[in-house]
Amino acid sequence: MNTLNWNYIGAFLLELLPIIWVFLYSLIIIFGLIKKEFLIVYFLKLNCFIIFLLNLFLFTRNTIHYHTLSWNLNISFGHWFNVEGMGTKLELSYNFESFIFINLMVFLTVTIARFSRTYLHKEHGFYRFFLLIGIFMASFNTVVLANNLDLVFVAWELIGLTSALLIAFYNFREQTVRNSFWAVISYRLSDVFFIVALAFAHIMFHTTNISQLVIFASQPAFHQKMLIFCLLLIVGGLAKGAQFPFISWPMRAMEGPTSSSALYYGALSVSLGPILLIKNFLLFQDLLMVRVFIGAVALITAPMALIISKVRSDMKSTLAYSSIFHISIICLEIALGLKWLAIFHLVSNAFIRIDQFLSSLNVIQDFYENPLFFPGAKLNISNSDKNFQSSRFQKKIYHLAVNGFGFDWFIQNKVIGRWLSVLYIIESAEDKFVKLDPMIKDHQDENLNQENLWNLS
Amino acid sequence: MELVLGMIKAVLWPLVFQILFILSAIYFFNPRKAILSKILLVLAPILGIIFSLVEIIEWNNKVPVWGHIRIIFSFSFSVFVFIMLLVSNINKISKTDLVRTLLLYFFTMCCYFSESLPLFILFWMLSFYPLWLELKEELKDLKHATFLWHHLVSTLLLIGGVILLTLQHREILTFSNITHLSKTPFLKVGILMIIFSAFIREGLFPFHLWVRSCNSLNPYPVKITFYLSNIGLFLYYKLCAPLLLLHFHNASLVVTSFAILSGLYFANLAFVQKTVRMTFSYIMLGQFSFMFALLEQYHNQVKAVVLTQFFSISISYGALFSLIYLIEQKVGLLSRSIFYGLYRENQKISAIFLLFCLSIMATPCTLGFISEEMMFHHMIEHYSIFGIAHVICSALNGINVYMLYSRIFGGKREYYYSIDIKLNLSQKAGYFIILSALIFFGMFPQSILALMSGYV
Repeated sequence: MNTLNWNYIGAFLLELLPIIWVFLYSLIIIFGLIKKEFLIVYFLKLNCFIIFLLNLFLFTRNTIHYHTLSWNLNISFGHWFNVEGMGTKLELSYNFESFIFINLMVFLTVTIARFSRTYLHKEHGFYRFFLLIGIFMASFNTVVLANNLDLVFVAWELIGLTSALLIAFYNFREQTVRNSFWAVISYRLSDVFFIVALAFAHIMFHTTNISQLVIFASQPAFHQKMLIFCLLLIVGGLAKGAQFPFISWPMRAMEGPTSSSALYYGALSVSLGPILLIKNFLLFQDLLMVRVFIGAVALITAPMALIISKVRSDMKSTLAYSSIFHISIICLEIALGLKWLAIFHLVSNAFIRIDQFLSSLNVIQDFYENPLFFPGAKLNISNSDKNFQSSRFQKKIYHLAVNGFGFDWFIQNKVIGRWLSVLYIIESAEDKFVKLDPMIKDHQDENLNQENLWNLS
Repeated sequence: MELVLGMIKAVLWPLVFQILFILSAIYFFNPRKAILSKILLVLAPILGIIFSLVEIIEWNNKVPVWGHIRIIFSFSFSVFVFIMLLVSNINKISKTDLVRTLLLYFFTMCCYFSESLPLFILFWMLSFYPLWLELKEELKDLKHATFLWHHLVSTLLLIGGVILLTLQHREILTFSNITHLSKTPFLKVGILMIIFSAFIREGLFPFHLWVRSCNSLNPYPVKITFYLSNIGLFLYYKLCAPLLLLHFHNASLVVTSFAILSGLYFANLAFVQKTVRMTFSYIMLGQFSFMFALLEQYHNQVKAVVLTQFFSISISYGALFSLIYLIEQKVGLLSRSIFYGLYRENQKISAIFLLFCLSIMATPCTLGFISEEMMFHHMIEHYSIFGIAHVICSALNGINVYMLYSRIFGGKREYYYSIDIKLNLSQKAGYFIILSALIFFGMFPQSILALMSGYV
């Protein structure tokens, strides 16, 4: 077989393996085929190991073949669906960046899997957790490999869904479920821009293939359209990276298991924004306006995230916001055109955050067992309050940062609250109109009484 | 030979339906033959499905005797009724409910297959009869019934519109000869009357209050079957869309605005409903409204996409409402302000419920995603602002659906007894079929899209 065919098969398997894992795992759960927890984890690790080998094989083969690191494989598997010219193609792109990101995903997922095996041992929802992690892995893989923005969006949506379901992992607690609503609201609102961007690309460029869009981007005649497209796409990607104005939802997202928080809000999910920018870097490298926009968002987010990370009273939020701070810096690096520095920064940040998140659970024990500390030393767990209590201005900043700079308050009271109050007026008007019918009213009252009785019991 | 086969198809199938219903009606009141009557009643939608499938398989070769749109509507509706019977566990539905549902099914199928407009109007009116029977029992004073005067107005508008169209034609109007109508002053008025009649039946804003009042009472299974028969949408597609294209092309923007306004209204108002079933009803109304917005466009692609979306959401809502029905049987009326915490004892039900919700939310890997994404693209291409409104509505619906799922299955339990909802074999089979179809066509959508575009 020639090189092209091996690449074709390799990329196909690379994309398909996590999906097959999810499919098989779903069958295992449905039919209860495997009851042993460790087998599930080994099964996932084995899958990761095969992905790693395939990734290594593809990378080595192409690097030897092209004698450089700047090769790029564009592979098309035909149409996913097509109605009279309107549809989506299954197109993948594999290059050095993909190699790095897939390896990052594999190493971090294996770490999380190993950690979760003991952390979630006999936990209600152990199997659900691994299913969601599997879907996340398949989706992340697709975001990295896809050469088509439609496919990126498919994976993007699935990551959002798994994120929300993992926040609500301990779904027997009301507050946990409520907090997952915020993540869904943020994701859905930013997805509006993503969908509009895709429709815009379909209408203006008749394609969402990134390689073809790069050709359009290089032509000055299309700069105006490309500017609108890139801005829409970037705003669509802001929520995943928790960049301004979607900065406050990660505070509420720490309700899930520590291992999923580490993977999502410490390492990989928050990095999806920069990954999207890196993938589409060639689209906006000549568009100064877009780069200024990215830089501005990063410059607004970075200090906010840094201050929030200093004032949060829980370890997970502190780590998540320091990760978001770094994500802002990575975005700034991308805006400045330092793509490879951004990749290096992203990878190192992901590894450090995973380590910090996972060791955060036993930080107190680690401190007292550390032979470097003298006996009787006390751990200063929360000194952030004192740092921010010296002047009136600092106090104000402290209060603002503790409440996520008032975004939640503003959205809840000024936007959603007012909007709902108007809707309630309309609803009561409708109710009055329908309740002209006395029997309907009686029926509803009867049901509500039943409901109250049921609650009291 | 083809003519003979065509005649058999045209005459035999309705005959089979009729015989089945007469037989079931006879057996139904004879307790000794109860099992046989149930079998006969379930056989009717199965025959409907087989009939539609046979026609669909033959599409590649020739135009079916009945025309494609009828087959798609009858297929979706037959699947819905069959699944409804299967998953609602027919033994638990009261005899009267069962007969009314199937009577409604029969009249709706007759509506789909009526060629002449007077016959269509007759069945249109008759399809209200089972609902009327139910409402008569539930309401003492029908004078105040919102739905009654809504349907009275819609039927009068339809009759008036058809009379105005017939005035100049002077022969019985059929769905196929409406294209021969010439322009007269009455024509536009007639078309408008029929459009409004379809809007009332389909519950577009501000004619949706009958759905609200119906769903405040027991919505299963008669009322939900009545709504999901989608005769209003069928009427618009079959009669109004071609007439608008021929004589009233500028009106399309008005129809689209109306539909988008409805969609926005329903997506927003769904957030302030008190019960889960009402919230889902409003989301459903919104999603069906968007089909009106796109049906006025006459591109083949669009029609195929809209029909796919119609198929997807009809089936998803059918299954979802039946699940809510099962849950409400155990728990009582589901309020949207309470966390029920049903997850722990009903993990499989929760997974099935979530998958239907995902299909409605247009999440990837479900059929809903493919059709809704393509609808967005078409909408944004033709009317950018409306398109963005459509995307926003979809986002709002998604948030709302996720909230409902979380409230039913998540949160703290406020009761101390077990609520274990068990599915029997027929229910499992029913949900398995629908989920397999939604996920399979979501992963491999080409076959269903090709089928739908084959029609256009």
